[in-house]
Amino acid sequence: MANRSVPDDAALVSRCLDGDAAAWEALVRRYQRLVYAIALRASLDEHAAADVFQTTFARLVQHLPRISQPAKLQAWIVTTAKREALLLRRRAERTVSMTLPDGDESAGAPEWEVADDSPLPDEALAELQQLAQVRLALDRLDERCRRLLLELFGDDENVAYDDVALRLGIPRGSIGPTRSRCLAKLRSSLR
Amino acid sequence: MKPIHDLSDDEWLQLVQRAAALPDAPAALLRAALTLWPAPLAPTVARAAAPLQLLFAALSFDSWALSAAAPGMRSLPSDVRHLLYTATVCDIDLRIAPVDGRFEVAGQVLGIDEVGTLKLVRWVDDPAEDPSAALVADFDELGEFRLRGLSPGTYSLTLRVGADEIALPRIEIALPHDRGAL
Repeated sequence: MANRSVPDDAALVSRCLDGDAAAWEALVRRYQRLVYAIALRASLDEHAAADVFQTTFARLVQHLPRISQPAKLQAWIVTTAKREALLLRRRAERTVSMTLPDGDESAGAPEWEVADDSPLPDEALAELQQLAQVRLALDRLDERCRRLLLELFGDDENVAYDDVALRLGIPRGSIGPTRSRCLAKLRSSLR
Repeated sequence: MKPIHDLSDDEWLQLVQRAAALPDAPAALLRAALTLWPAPLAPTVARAAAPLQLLFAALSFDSWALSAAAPGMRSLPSDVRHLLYTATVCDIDLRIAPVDGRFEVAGQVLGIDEVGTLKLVRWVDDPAEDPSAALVADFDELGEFRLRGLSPGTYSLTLRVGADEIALPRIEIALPHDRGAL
């Protein structure tokens, strides 16, 4: 990330080792979406996803002093989160209930989801890392661009320009050109 | 997956849309993770002088054990054996597979992000028999390692990471139908 004001992972790890709690918070905030997305991608329920999240960061804080190549921190986090997610998935599959749903006498087999042999293939993990990278870059845009892009592309896919213009206090006609400029700015920040 | 600079404008737009919709972890989880922060950590230099700590890993998963216990099995277990061990500082994921009449042991040490070494020694019951030389391999930053060309037998595996030496229970390397014959 070509942004001088944003410390890289190595700097944050170093500051953590010096006892800087703010650096730990920055690391957690930097990777929280990625870790949670990995857990969700493994088709875990919210409780299991919470376990993956907590365990991954617990392991991270435990192993910070051992980190010899902080530049590979993201790979370590992804590997650890994936591992925890797969372990929980495996345990869930081993303890799945064989009981049929009440009143369902017609079904010939217990109702359970067939296990996916590769719930977290490398391609999916790479894609999640790319999404998280873009999202972090989006968070670091100036407020005008960040708010506009999040309003346009956030939870509501069918948001109306009129509503966005009202919420952001900008003319409706400026939304299209501003959106284009902000998308270009975001893209260039990732080069 | 295309690199960002290779995306068309439409693809870039779609990527941004998906990134913007990437959910935050629930606030309670975030707060819990932030509270994990401990007292200032000991400097790495000071830890280097720490004495060697011997740890024992426990077997937590064995694909052959699962297969053998499963009722209604129609076939032998897979030739590839998957083992998972848990120690206090890490987990060790092992896969043992036959390759060209011999065996390959590949795996990953999880929960540790520094390089280390592992040592595999064939266990010999008969004192007259010359024990095999220890096979030593490094594992990388992601904890991955691979040992090839192993003959069937019972082996002991130990890992060395920083000031920790982690010993695994003896491991039988064999095909499923030869299991227990060693």
